[in-house]
Amino acid sequence: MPIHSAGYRGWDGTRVPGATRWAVIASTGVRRTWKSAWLRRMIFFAVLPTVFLAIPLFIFEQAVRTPGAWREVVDFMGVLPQTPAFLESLNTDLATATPEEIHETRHQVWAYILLTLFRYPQSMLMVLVIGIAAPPLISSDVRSRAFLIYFSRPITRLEYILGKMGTMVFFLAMITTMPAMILYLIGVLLSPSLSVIVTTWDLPLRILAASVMLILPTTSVALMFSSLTSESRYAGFGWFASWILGYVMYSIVMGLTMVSRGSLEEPGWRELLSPYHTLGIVQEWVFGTTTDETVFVPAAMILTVATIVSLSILYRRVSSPMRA
Amino acid sequence: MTEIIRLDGVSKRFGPIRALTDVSLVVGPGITGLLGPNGAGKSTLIKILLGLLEASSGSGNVLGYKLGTQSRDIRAAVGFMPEDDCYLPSLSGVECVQFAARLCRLPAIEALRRAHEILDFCGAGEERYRDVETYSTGMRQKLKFAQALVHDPQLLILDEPTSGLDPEERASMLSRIRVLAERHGKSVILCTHILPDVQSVSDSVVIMARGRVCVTDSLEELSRPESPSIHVATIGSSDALCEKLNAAGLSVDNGAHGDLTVAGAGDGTTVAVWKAAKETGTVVRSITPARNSMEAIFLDAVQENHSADS
Repeated sequence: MPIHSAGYRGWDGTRVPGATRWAVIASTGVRRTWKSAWLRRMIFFAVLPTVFLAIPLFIFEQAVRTPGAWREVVDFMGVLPQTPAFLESLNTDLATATPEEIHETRHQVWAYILLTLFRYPQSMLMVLVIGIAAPPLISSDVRSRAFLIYFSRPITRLEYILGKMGTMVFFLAMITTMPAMILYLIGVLLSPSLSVIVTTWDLPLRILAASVMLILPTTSVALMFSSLTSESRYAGFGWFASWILGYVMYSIVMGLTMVSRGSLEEPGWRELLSPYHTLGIVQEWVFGTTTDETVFVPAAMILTVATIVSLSILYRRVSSPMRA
Repeated sequence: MTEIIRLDGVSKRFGPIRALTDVSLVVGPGITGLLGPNGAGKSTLIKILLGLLEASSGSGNVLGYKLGTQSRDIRAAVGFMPEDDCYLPSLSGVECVQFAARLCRLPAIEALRRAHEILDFCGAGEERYRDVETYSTGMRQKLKFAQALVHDPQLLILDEPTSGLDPEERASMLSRIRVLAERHGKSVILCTHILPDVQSVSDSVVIMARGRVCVTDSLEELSRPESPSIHVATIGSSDALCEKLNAAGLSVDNGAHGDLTVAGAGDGTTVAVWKAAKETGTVVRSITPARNSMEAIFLDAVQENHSADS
């Protein structure tokens, strides 16, 4: 008990603009979620791939200046997952190339390294981070009836959803956008002069676009799962199951195709069976490593439909406890 | 403001079920007890007042804001304490109250200061720094009350605020409600099943049953018996006193624990009681003007509503 209490006093201070309410929900969500030790560890590990992928950037910039070192770049790239189109682009010895060829190759190599960061380590981490952070975001509000706390105040459903999405955007940006931006910055610092920004100015924008393409559908789907149940473990199960089942289905179809035709074919539409591969197609298109619209358009449509359907269900589910 | 809430013919249907039927109501300043048996439509009425549910028909306003179109303004000016055990997991008590304040647009630092101030007012100690999931029922009630109050609303809607509190905490909670109404001009809608709570703090009462408003009047008016009488409490047997008063031509009803209700009011009746007590050697503990109990008012209203329906 207080030693001195002034009792009740009115409050007539200046209120902040109403547009910040969603940010209050988002920041509180971040604070609550940050208490998870596993999540903090993952955010820490999310920086490590950046350090690893800085090595090819360093080698590339050395090769630009050192005749004969180009072979080492090609060898190192062989360690990374590659596409045939990208391999074909690595045929020029930069020591003898014209400045235009160097700029063009630098853009291709940087874009490919950034894509590798997004496509492999960060996508895997994204699945895990969302699997830890998103399931309790709404399901715990359902279980603890916290909806009454939110909606008995001047909060709309849209602000509530925006706030919850804001929480996820924060964590996903920490493991995707931020490491990619750091990697780009490392590339600029390792390059011979700051003039490389002129030829690679679009890469930060591509990073942002790839982040949006990754964050929006995944967050919508994960929050939809979270809103469907009061038990966060079920929401987590639904999230991981959708990724694992999609991947398994893709692998089975690819395996059957290989057995029936006797050779490994380009996956084509089969990639659309797996959320992981569908996201990969869109990211490849964003970073310009593929321009095949016959696969990109259906992939983009699938992600758009998944986002719209998830948000619709989420919007409806958020209002249902108030109707009861 | 003379009218805090005005409802005109508000009805609400959930499919074939009529939750509210043609509710017309005017609630003035002060503390208003909202009573009714389970399923009377109190929760539905509160949700409509807060704009969480849309009325199927009818109109109204709360604090001058129109129902349906100005719901956000209503919720900004109203503090709601739900009956349900609701909390934000993984946050401490003070963080929960700060969060509620920030949702009502208080700046972050000011919201924290205000949260501490309100928790002090609510009698919360160091436990405010603990995770709310570890709170007892009583502490959660205080927390909900603090969350409802932190943004300094003009109107408080309190749903079962004393539920789960021990007698001491219950008295403190009622005292806080009274202080807010009397000294700080807050209007309060007190929705509860604990009738003595309503009787002890309310200025007026609204009784609902089967989705309708049965009674709405000031507590003073409702408590007044149809014919004036006095209530006599005795120590020991009151049989001899009862006989003596009957013999004196007074109408006497035997109540519980030997208490008597004597028809009539004024000094004449009181003098007759004292005289009869002296003659019969009965020890009189108290003589008070008889009032209708809240229980009697409530049961009468609900039973009348049942009879009207059948």
